[in-house]
Amino acid sequence: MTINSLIAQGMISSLLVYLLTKLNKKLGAFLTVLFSGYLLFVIFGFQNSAGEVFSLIHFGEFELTFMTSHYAWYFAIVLTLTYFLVSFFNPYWMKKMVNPAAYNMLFMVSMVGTVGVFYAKDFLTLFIFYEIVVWSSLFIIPMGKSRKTPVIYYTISSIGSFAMLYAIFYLYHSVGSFDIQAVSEAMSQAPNTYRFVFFTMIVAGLTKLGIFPFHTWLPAAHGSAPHTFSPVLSGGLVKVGGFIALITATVIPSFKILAGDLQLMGVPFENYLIMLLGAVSIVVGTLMAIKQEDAKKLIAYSTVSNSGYIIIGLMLNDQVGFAGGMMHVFNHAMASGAMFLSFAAIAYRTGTTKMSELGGLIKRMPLTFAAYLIAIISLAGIPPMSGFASKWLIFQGLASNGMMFIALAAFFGSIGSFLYVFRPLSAAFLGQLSPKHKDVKEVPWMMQIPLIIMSFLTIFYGIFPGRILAYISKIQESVGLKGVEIEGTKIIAATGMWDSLVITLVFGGGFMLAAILFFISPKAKPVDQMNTYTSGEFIYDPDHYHYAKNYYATFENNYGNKKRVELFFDAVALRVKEFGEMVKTMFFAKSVSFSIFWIMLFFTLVYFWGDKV
Amino acid sequence: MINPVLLIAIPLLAAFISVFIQKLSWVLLFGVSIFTAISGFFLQKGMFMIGGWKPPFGINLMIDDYSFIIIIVINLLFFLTLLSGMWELKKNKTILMVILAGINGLVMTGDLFNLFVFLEIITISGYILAASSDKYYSVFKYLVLGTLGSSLYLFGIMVLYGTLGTLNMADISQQFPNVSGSVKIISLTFVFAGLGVEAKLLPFNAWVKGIYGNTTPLTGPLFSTVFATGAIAVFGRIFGQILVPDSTLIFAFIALGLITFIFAETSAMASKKLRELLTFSSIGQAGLIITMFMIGGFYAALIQLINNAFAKTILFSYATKAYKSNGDDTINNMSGLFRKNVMMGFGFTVATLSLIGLPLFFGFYAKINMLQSAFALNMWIPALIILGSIIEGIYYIRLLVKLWNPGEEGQESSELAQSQFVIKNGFSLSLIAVLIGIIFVVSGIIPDFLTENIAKAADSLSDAATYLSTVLGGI
Amino acid sequence: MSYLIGLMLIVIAFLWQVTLEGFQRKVTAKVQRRVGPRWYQTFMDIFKAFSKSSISHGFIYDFGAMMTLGGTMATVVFLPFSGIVAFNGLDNFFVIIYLLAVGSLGMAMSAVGSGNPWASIGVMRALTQMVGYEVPFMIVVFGMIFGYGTSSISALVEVQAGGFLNWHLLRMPLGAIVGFISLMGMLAKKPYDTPIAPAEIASGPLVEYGGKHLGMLMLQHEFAVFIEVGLFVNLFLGGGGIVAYLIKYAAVYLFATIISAVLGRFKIEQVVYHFYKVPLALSLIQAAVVIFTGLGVEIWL
Repeated sequence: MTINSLIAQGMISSLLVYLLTKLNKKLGAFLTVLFSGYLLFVIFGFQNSAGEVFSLIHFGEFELTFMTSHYAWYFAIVLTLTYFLVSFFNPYWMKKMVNPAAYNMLFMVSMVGTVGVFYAKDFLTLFIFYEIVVWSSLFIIPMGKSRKTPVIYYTISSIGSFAMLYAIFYLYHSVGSFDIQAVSEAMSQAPNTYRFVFFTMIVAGLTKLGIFPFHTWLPAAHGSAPHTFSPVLSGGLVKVGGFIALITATVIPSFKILAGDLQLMGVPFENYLIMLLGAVSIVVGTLMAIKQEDAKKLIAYSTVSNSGYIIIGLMLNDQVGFAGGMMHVFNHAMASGAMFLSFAAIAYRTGTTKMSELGGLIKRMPLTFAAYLIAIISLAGIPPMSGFASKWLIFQGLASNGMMFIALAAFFGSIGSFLYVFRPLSAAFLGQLSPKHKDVKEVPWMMQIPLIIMSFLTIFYGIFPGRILAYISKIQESVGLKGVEIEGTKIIAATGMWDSLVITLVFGGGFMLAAILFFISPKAKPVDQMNTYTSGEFIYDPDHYHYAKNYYATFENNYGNKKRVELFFDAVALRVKEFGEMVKTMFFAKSVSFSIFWIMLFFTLVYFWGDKV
Repeated sequence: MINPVLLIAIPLLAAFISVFIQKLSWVLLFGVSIFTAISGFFLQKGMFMIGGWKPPFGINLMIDDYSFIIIIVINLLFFLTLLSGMWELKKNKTILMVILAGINGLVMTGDLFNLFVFLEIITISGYILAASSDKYYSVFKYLVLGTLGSSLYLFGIMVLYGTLGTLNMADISQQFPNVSGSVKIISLTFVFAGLGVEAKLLPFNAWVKGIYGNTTPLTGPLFSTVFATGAIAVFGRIFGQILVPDSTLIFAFIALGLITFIFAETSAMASKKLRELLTFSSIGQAGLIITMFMIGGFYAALIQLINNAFAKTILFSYATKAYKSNGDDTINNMSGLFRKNVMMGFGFTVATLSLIGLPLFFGFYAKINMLQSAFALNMWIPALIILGSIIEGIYYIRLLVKLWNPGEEGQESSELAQSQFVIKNGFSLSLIAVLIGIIFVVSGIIPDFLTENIAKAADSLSDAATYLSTVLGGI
Repeated sequence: MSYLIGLMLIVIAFLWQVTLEGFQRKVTAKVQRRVGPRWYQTFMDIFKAFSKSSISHGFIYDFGAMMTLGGTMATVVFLPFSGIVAFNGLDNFFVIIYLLAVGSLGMAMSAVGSGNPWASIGVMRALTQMVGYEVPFMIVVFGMIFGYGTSSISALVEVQAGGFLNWHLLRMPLGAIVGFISLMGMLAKKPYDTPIAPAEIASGPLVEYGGKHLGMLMLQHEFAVFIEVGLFVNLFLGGGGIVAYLIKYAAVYLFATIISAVLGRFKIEQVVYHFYKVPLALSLIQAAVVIFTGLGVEIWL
């Protein structure tokens, strides 16, 4: 199987899925599961392939080609895995979807599109598939809760993608080729050209990743997308931005090309500026996530924050931090995917994702709870889950370069993440079970599969992060960096090391010890959920007895409640519209005299100054 | 091989007959339209003298690759317009045939004064058609500005005639570089302004909002595709090949084109009615295509011209049908309308995405070609083109999202919130939409099958020497 | 072998810290002119708690209690104690900070799992406070890690060897101040005892606990104190041999106790505001000094 025929198959079978869903809704949905599994399987076979070239089609005078590489495989496998796991939810949502056939088709198109992005050999192919991913995912979002957010998504996304398009053609104009390899070779002679290209092209990565100031679309779109698509958006599609950043800064070796530039804390100032943006988005994402009432919005803001870690890691372009950034791509895909999926599961059973309307669901949906718990432990970067490995590597990378301001943001985001990940856990799963959710059941077995797999992968790669890091070190070597050093289960950085297996074992030992202590002590008497210390009050309503609203109100008070970036963008949009209205009144007025005036002005200008030109 | 004179003569003849035999006019109109649409493909290329006078003394028609492709496109568009507007023909059949003759002549003619005549034929027919929408004030505005534009154009070519003593395009293009600078400026600006009125360039296009914004299923596609394509094609011919401005003046023209593009796109963004939105989008596209012609990107300009023309056929047909069926075209009231007519929705969506220039659709090929030729000039023009495209994309996506997904803001999208609107008489439009949609998708993946002839056309436009030798070769 | 050392460390931590806890109560009492309990009172409290009957609010309530104790004990194993390192080279600063978070998470889960809103409020306050004290502390240590090129705590102890003049207390005085303030926050001593404020929110997270659950949480608290004070001793006072270490430990702990004995309590938003006003600024200055001038690392006496 080759990449080009895989893409063609994908596009054709997306049409097939459309038709079959028209026939039978469930059938089409199962086909998406089947095909994404197939795609995952085929992509998996390319694990060790690098440098194989496949030609797709001639596009006018251009040729679209694919090339396998390690970094492409890594991203592709993360994305297809996310798509595959999420697709298990599709069959159950067909009834609730306004246009299931279109949903299934676009789901497939966007999945195939991402593969095309990653394996692109030249920028034109990359851009084509990038845009395909954008518009196909774009039309899924309005099937959810909002018709406004897809526009926000498209706006921000197109700012990025058109900036990239501009950069691509600027490169084509100056280099004469779209080929990434050729461009990267040519750029090593032309740092001035590259400096401009770096900033214009990376905007696409920043917008897709949701880096400040482009983060506003994430909570809007992820929060209102169909429940089954939010995990793909957050766990998967955001990573496409990471890939663009990787291409811009690492595959085209920014650290070498810009070596002559001003170096800030060991990296070129261009990279440092992007890192600073990443740092700001960590802080903004954390602060905003803390105060969300809706779990999906909360997770979306947490994605903003985690994207910051990814971009910081990637921009470090070193042995350790870069590996951390790369690994965070996988960790975050699994963690945020699992978080979104568990809230999709909750929404499937209860119909809401508002945390204040939930509570105590652990008793009804234990597996969903467990998946969520494991995901947040990973997301908060607590050992022994995989999220710790990547955060540790990023911290080490920052420490060895002494980037204290970025580290400040990274530490703040890391500690702050305890706050926001705990809130849904506390408000939705723990606390008092509301009487209206008394008869809620665990989700059907097919929806449990992805939750179990994601949890397993999170734990497994938490104990054996070396398995992923070994592959990442291959990637690092293929792009000219030093590979991250691994020794068994030990991960070694210049500024220290840790051993994931030992930590797990010690933690396991500690837990056993505690368990022994617990079980040899007298048995505890189980009591009802309402049977608690109530300061002597008579409590009768579990809903009122559940602490879920304005969870961190006291903390939020410290930083106010203004969405300044959103307000700014709204203001810009308003100005554009006002400008449009002004054009209407000035040039398309009801009276024809305006127009005569302009024509006269035109001729006056020409005859006054025409001889000058 | 068909003599191009027939493309003008037969519609005129049929129009003449239809005046006397009203009952047959329906048949005549469709017959003529089918004839021109088909015969466009078999047009004989070369130069045709009218009345036996050799150019530069006589009037000639010129069929090079450029006019060849424009003729095909325009006649196809005209046929599609008839199909989608066939319930609106009423008493307009004769005038439509006159328009067909006029627009064919406009594209093919090789004489500047002859061009003026054809221009007058179609604008006057345009006033008549526009008057059928009962918005007389708008028509009056159109009349005033159209007349002004024609006068300006006439004045421009008068200056040229006074200086050069000829109105034959080939002859003028040969002698134009030797003309003194001030005459150049005067004649160019007058011709530019005169054509700018019809081509919808910014300070000259105040009539467009009233006319395009109140179109019917017949006039909407007719004005926005057939007229617009013809006018812009003439623009391309004159300023790309015949009266090529100097490098300094051309920047003023490019600036006007870009201003038109961006200003109109922002106006479209501020529009709440579908037809108004499409109107401004048409203006914007005209500005963009003219910019491309001005900077010498003929290939890109032609691709975008064709892309825009076919896309606008669907968009305007749908918008005008929606208005006709419901008496309203406020976008907010149309939410979820595509769910009722999926085929039209498909065509509309594909056309829109192609217009924005998203990949997998033909427009993307246009966009990359535009950027490529814009970059050949400098770095700012592509930046502005991209800026305009972003704005254009935003309002179109807003529109599509609204039209596909019924639902209250904050609630899951569902059929319950669907619009009460319906589309009547939509069958022919459905067919057209699906057909054009498929063509856009296929040519978006494999553009070659459309672009071969376009490339030839662009070459012939930039190759003035061949044009000259074809026309004046006899001397 | 390493695991046995680890076990031994846990036992030492238990004996030493619980004893010191008794003294601490005595000292507080003396400051407040009371008599105070006997020094072994805390031992008695813990053993008593384990022998009493208790109630359970469900699975997560029990599981969280085990997780918090297990996680904290595991952290004790990784903290160097007067030069004794159970796993050589694995005493990484970040590992310790984040492994300690396992314990906090377990406690938070268990407490909220009880379904008592007081517990939720307490946990909310604890997490909020954590954002306050961890960041300045980590920034200070970040400077150290950059300065010495290692994030291993035992290595950071070694660089302070050779007399008190080499202690970070003197080399990085601002950092030491920040470290101590953060330590007060970590220990949840007044004025930072907002999360458990007994008179306001009925002891917060601990509101529902009794019997063995309470016993486990008390144990966890003692271990956490051992780690937190130990971190300060290692990072700023140069660790030292067993006796020196224990003396330094006792001094730091009792000093914190004395301060807290005479202070009132912050409101929770004041806590964060307070931490981000002075200690964060100091820690940034300290880190900047270390990173950009090398003062305290390369340049010293």
